[in-house]
Amino acid sequence: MKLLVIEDERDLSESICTYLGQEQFVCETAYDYEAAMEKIHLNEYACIILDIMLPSGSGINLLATLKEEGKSEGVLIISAKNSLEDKINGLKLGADDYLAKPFHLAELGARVAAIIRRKSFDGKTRITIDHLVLDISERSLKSTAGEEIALTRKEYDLLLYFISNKNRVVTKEAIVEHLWGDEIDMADSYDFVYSHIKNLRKKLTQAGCPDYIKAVYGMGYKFVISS
Amino acid sequence: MKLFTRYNRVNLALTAILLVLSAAAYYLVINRILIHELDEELDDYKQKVESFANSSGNLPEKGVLEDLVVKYEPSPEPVAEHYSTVKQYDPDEHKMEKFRQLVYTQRAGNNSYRVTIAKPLEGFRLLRKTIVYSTLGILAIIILVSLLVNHLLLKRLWNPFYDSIRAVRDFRLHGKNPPGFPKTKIEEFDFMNHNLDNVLRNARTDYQLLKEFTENASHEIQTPLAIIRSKLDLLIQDESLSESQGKILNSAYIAIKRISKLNQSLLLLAKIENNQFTEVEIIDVKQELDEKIRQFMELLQDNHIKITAGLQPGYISANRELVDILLNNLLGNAIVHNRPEGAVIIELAASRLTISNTGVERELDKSRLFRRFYKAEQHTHHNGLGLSIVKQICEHTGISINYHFENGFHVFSLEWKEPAGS
Repeated sequence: MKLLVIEDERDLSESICTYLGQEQFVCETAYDYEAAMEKIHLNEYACIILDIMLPSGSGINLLATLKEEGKSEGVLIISAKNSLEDKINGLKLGADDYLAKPFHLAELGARVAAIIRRKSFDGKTRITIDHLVLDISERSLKSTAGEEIALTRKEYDLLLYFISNKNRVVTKEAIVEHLWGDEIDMADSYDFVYSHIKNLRKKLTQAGCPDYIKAVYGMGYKFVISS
Repeated sequence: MKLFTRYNRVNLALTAILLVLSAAAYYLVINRILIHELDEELDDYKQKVESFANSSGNLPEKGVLEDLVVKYEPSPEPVAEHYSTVKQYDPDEHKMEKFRQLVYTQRAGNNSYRVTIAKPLEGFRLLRKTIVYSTLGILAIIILVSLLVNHLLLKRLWNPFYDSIRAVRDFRLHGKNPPGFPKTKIEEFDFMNHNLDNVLRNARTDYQLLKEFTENASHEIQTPLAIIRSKLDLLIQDESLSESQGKILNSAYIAIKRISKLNQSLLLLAKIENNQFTEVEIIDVKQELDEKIRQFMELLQDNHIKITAGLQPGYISANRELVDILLNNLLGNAIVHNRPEGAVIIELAASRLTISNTGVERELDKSRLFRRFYKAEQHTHHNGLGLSIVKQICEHTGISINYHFENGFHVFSLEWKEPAGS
């Protein structure tokens, strides 16, 4: 699957591409309005990651052009401006999601995965990975043997987050932000992550799945699925 | 004391002194003139006596009709002719009176006489009286007039001054309207207004620039932060990292999170000050609180904090995003700064909300509580901006917020005006 990253900060653009490229994505980059316009016209992408604050301020024009031309690509806006107004404006213009800088790459990965799922499954809302079958619309999990694995809301969100960032290290901090939002400033929030992960791991292994979740040097976790 | 009252006092005192001095001078001058006149009169009479004596060899009879008292005394020794003022008995008035008299030696025939011609000075008393009374009268008139002028005219003259002061008092740096000084024809006030206007305009421009700077700086900081964080996210993917390297990276993550939060808080403050939250709607506070309590439930349970919520319906007309941040910060504080097995009590009435929590067993410093970067304890990872954001939101929304410490509870109470028609 191809992604287009429209971001004038080359360093950031590079990070995004490296991270997302570690999984199934092929990343193309555009650093300015003209290059982006050309690529949009030439190719089709699964998702476009768009920095709305390009130096010429034309990020919003790009979004408008995409919508005018009836392109079906999902668009994720990334912006240094974290304001509700900006977010609403972007979403009104047809963007699918909005992420404020500075973000965790894992969060970006999860958002991109969610957009692609929404755009491309067309009613097919199941993800099958190794021994797991996730039903996105019902928010439920079964094993491939058909056995129901009951998860709490947080556990389900956590699992989906891991799957979107599979085979990559995700920090505890990124998980906290994903599950509780960054408004809740909790000193001991890492303990929550730990207990949720412990429960999820237990439920998965009890259902006969391998132990997917590996702790990495006390700073994060990796959801390992050997393909 | 008002400037003019002060001026008036000095002025009146000086006027009084001047009046008394001038009255005295007046009196002395008139006195001299009158005495001079009198002396001339006496001299006239002397001439008459002399010419009579020269022609007849006798002294004339003492005049009956004249207002003069004339005495002849034989005197062999000649006396020097001199004028003087003496006190003597006045037969007409039957009392001691002041007289002006002329004494000289007159020869009549072979005899030599000492002649004394005297005239009473009764006119002088009148003169003194007139001068004293007229001086007092003038003084009274001056005081009266200056009081009237003070009351009627000066109030109006100073009006532009008070208008300007009022304009300065009502001026707000973050307000929209220019200060607006009234036009005045008085040069000094006009000069003052002109300069005040300049100063205020410059202050506002500087303030605006500073606010924009804060906002721009905050935005500019986000991008490098995003780059650093993304690079760290890539770095931890490296499988050959050691555990100690992992710890180092972890510290770096935490520091970045702190900068990022700090930056977001400063940006939020700048945006509230810049009036960027203009959309206002009627918000169901009870519903918002229920939602927030649900969000915080996990945190509450984990810290074994007991929450008691007595929520009556309550509505507020405000910006939704700001109310969300406000409740988030207040509730978050009540939990984070609590103690294990503590309690949080939330009470909502129509236009009043109190959030109380247990915590440190002493009152927080009220005067500094809402200031930026206030921290009750030093070494904490909180940036100390939470409550100043709360304060700022309250000011922006028209909520009055108060803190007090009561029975071991830190109580934050918020009151606002109930929106019409709710």
